[in-house]
Amino acid sequence: MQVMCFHLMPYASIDLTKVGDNECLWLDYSNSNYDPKEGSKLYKRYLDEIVHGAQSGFHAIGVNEHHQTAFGLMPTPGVLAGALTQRDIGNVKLGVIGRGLPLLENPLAIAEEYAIIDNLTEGRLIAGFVRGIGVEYHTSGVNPAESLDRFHEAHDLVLQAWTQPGPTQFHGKYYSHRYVNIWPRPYQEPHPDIWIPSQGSTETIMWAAHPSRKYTYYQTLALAKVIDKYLGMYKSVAKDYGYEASPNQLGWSVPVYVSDTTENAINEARPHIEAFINKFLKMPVERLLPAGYTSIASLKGLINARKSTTLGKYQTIEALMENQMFVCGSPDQVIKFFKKRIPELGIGHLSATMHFGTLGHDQTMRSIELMGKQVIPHIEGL
Amino acid sequence: MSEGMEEFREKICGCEISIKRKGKGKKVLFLHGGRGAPVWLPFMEELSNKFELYVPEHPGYGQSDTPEWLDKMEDVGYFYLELIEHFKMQNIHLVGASIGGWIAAEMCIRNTNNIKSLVLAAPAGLSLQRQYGLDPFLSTDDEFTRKAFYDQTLAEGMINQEVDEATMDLILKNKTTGARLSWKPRLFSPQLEKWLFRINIPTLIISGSHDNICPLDQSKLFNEKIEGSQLAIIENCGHLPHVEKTDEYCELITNFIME
Repeated sequence: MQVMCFHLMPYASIDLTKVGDNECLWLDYSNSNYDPKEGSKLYKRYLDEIVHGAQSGFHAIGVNEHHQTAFGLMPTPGVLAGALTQRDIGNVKLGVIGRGLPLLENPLAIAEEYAIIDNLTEGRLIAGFVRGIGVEYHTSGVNPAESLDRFHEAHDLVLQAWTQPGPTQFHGKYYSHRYVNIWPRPYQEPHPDIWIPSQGSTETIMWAAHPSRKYTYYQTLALAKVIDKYLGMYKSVAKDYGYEASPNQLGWSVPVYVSDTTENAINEARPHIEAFINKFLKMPVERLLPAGYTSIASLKGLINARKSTTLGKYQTIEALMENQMFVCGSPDQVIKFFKKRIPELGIGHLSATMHFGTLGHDQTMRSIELMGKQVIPHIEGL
Repeated sequence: MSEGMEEFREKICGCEISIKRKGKGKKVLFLHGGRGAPVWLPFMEELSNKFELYVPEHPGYGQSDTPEWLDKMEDVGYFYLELIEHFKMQNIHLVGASIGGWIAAEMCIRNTNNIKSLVLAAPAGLSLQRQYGLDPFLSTDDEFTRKAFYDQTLAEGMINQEVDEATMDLILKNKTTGARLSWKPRLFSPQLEKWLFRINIPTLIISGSHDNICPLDQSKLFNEKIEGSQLAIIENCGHLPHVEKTDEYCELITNFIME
């Protein structure tokens, strides 16, 4: 079991009292609300927190990509990953989980960026590939109806650039390159580890689990039953393909907070995790699932699921813990939870989001330390 | 359903589409807007009293198939040029609403051999320097409906209608195709404007005075770029003049075609 210290780098200095109940912090929440003096402090603070994870017993550290939002300040995560390679992070793996392949007109830029990070870390990059959530098709302007095809095509292009001695050619419907010959090449042979983070999608699982890929499927924040469903689907799809999925192919991402006692943990985390879910993540369906982003049947299913599940109404910390969308407690409590849940899911990768919403620096650092030093030693053998 | 209206399916360019037809006289081909043409509306009945009216559902919309080749609005334009040849239609009067107007313009910059006249009603398809119409991909259905009408009692009436599951499926299908065809660039083609001068048939452009979806300025730009075209502005009217001002709309079209 490998545990990652994952960070979203939100704009935690936001004044939430000024954010209306129906306002969404994505896409058109004005950047006049961003104060660069605060932001520059946050970047330094967040890098310190991730480095603390690397030094406290986590096996990996991770960043990701979002655009035009107070939810996360990493539109180009490679810059932050590059900064981390120059900190004292020991031998942990460094994940960029992930970059939105279809969002770029030239996905070779991602092949190059990842190759640099892989060189800087001497082969410790985990390369995440995502389609990008629906709202990124508003922020980038890329057509969501082309998303899935562009994802597959861009993936093939990146893999070709990494694995075939250049120069080669690539000609698809969306991407056409007369010359594919990237410098540098990645450090790892034949290429860096590839993870496929997803909110849950049959198409993505069928593709990731294919014997020619066997990529790590990394389930992002969702209700417990949704996690069960999609991780179970990966295993059964692998069986249909004629092999047994290894734990290394399965990952789960969840926010975690650890304090000295469970009561203190809940009290300390409450305003921040509730802000994270109810404010930072809040998004109307036209943004999360724009027309064309999924098949009509999937779109309908997702819209109905969203209406009927908890994501529609205000979420308390108790409800989030009940639904296993947040793991919170004393070290013993958190160990107990994971000792039960990890074998149930059969995962080999746990990504713990150690900062969420408006959580302060001191609390984040202490929670990272407790997780790294008091929890991970008891679960890494699972 | 209207008495005498026939609905049939036809396969053209490998794509089976649904077509409604009624009336006698000059042939009028109506190209619907982004919300499709699922039902026979009063303005269709009115026009079919004077003309032989064809109302197809575009590839990817309503009961029509979604073909593999469907990528851009110009594909739909080529499709309808093929449809005209398929039915051996001559002297067709073409009427396009919103994105239907865009499709009609895509057809007419290419070939007007069998097209006698063109009506563009609240047409989409051109870029204004700044897009200040509502973004249909970011708005809810209710927001869109409110913005589409000048008369808000009509909007509320439409919003309060029950939507059954089959209708919801059609709405999602139409939206999905709409995204496929017009997400980027958002509701226009950068190529269209420079070839509009090729349109060499009588052209009438109709715009509501208060169109918040395809603003009046866009209709003015069509008017400026299509030599000899006329612009008719319907007062106190939004994006859907065929619904909001049915009589005035039908009268404008009838008089124009009869000329």
